[in-house]
Amino acid sequence: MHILREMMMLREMMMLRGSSKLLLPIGTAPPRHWSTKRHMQCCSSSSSSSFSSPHYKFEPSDVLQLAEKASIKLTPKEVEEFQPKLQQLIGWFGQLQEVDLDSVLPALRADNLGHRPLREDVPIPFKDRDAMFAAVPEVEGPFVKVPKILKENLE
Amino acid sequence: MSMGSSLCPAFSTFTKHSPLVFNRNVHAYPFLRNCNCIARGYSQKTVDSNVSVSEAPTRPHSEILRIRESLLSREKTAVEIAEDYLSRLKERETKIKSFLYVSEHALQEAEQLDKMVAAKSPLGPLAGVPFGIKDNLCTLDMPSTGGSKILEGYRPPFDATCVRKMKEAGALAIGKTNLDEFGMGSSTENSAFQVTSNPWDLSKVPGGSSGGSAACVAARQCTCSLGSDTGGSIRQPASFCGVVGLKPSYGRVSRYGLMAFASSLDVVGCFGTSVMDTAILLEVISGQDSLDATSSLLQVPSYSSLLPSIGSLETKPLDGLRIGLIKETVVDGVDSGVVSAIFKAADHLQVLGAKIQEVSLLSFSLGLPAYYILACSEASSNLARYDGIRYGNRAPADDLVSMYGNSRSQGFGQEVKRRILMGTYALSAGYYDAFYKKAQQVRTIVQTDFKNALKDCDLLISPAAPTAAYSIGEKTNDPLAMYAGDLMTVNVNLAGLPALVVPCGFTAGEGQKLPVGLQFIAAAFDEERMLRAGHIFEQTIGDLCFVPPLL
Repeated sequence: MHILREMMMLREMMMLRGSSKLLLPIGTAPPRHWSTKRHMQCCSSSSSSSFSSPHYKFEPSDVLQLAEKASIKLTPKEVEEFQPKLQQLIGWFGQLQEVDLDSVLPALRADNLGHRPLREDVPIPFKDRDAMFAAVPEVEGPFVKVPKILKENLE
Repeated sequence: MSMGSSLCPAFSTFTKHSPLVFNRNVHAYPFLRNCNCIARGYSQKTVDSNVSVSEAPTRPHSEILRIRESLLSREKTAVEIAEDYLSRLKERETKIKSFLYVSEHALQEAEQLDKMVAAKSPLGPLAGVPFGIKDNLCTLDMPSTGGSKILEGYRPPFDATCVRKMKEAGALAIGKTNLDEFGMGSSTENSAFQVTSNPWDLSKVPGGSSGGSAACVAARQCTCSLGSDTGGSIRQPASFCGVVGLKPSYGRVSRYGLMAFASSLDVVGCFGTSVMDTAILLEVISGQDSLDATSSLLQVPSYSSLLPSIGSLETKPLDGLRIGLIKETVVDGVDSGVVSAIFKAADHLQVLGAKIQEVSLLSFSLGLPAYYILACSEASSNLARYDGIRYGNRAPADDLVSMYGNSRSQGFGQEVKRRILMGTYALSAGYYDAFYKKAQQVRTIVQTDFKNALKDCDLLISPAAPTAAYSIGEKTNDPLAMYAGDLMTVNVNLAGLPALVVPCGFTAGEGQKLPVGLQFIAAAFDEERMLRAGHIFEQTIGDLCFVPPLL
């Protein structure tokens, strides 16, 4: 077991980063700059229903790969159950490809808020530090305790 | 008057008010077939001896104002009110199961209030009002699980801003309500802890994800409740349970202390048994908060004081109001009982003076898959915080990576895992443009379509859901069927608009009749107009009683 300083924990250990590290292509990855037109041809030629495009077919191994990226350990039974459902849902998502939206700007959220100046980047200490620490699963003294970080780092 | 009488509004509640104007103008309202009955209820002096109690008016009244009157007139103490609610809560909880936790402090807090009443100290606007809190809102003195095993037993060291504001207004936090895990679901069946029943028919779902918050208000286990709405999680359960549900504009209410599901869509809102109650609540919980960068700087209007008293209504109180009925929500595939209830409601709005026109929102059906792409993508990122390090449950493992995997595997339920995986997929390099970016482009056209529709109309109306409440277990194995039920609500979240669901009728299926809600949608931060129309609609709709008969 390693014991780390709590600040280090916050910065390093919390970062599961669902998105930014996902660089692995999954299944039959489409090319990066993928034209709508090309996809529509693909859909119309082989799609069995409007909600399931075979283009997005992926295998149980892809489910496992996704689960690994999301830091969720799945049982073989879960993989088996998830695979058809995920495929169905991702096929359903695929219907958006049939719409030409190339000239439309993406919206990050509702445009209700107008210009919001950011607050100053100043830390505000939380008042009840002890209560916050009471929720930590494992502590040792002033530290948050976690299992060892690198398998190779055994000593 | 015992609190139990709140279940069937008694004449005595209404006699304080002036007689309904409709008494004089009843013939101008062919739709209000039972207008005579309503009018008589309001002016008891004119009630003729043939009117039986069963014809008593069913016009919803403000429970919040009634509690205030009881306290100020010393008719009841806060402790008596709290005891009434708590005993009813416990009795009904065995059947409904709307609560994950019931407060141990409510009576002590009520005692404090009674001392304030005795000392003639000023009382907050919600003094003595018992309320439920969806369990994805953090509370200082009650566990907050989000309906997830990963947070089982978690006690946050702070109150969510909306909870703090309710308490500061004098309301009594009575417990934490059941929900789909982290808000992911439409039936409350995805809770890790229990399945909540619909008070109208115990074999049906209460809707979701704020199913516990809707059911507890419908079952009169508390006066009102807080919920959250990411894609319809307040409005659809309000419709299923026959209560009023309010989803404010994005940015109206601080989300500090709300467990984030999809941050570009999540809002905190509320439930009540009358539009007036939701207006009072909105006034209390709204406003800018330095702890939520997305909370709006706009001033909070006095929503409740803008609602007219029924005695003061003109012949056509909604005269000139342009209301658009969204065509795509009353098409084939939508339950015929729902459609007919909505058409009747539209007729009634017309009778009240509104101009009803059909409006087509072409982007409507695209909004559903776009919503699920965005919600899942944001969820995959937001839920990365549940890793067993700083709070929540940690599964044993030899190394850190396995600990993450095990904790999340044991802590999350199937639907949450599925959504995280879908979101992870949609955000993957190579798929990002095809899914996430595309969905954001759809969000732009949905926003534009709503904006254009709300240029020609002051308000839009639609059902809140394509069906009334369905059976428990009916859709649990078919995610797509479950998602399809969100068609009427998700677009409103994509556009960040406010919406209000008011009970408007019933479907008559086999067995118990089930309530149907009418959804009003307004332009951003135009809650006032929507609340006013909803209030007048609710107060004039006639002899429909939205109190579950099983209770």
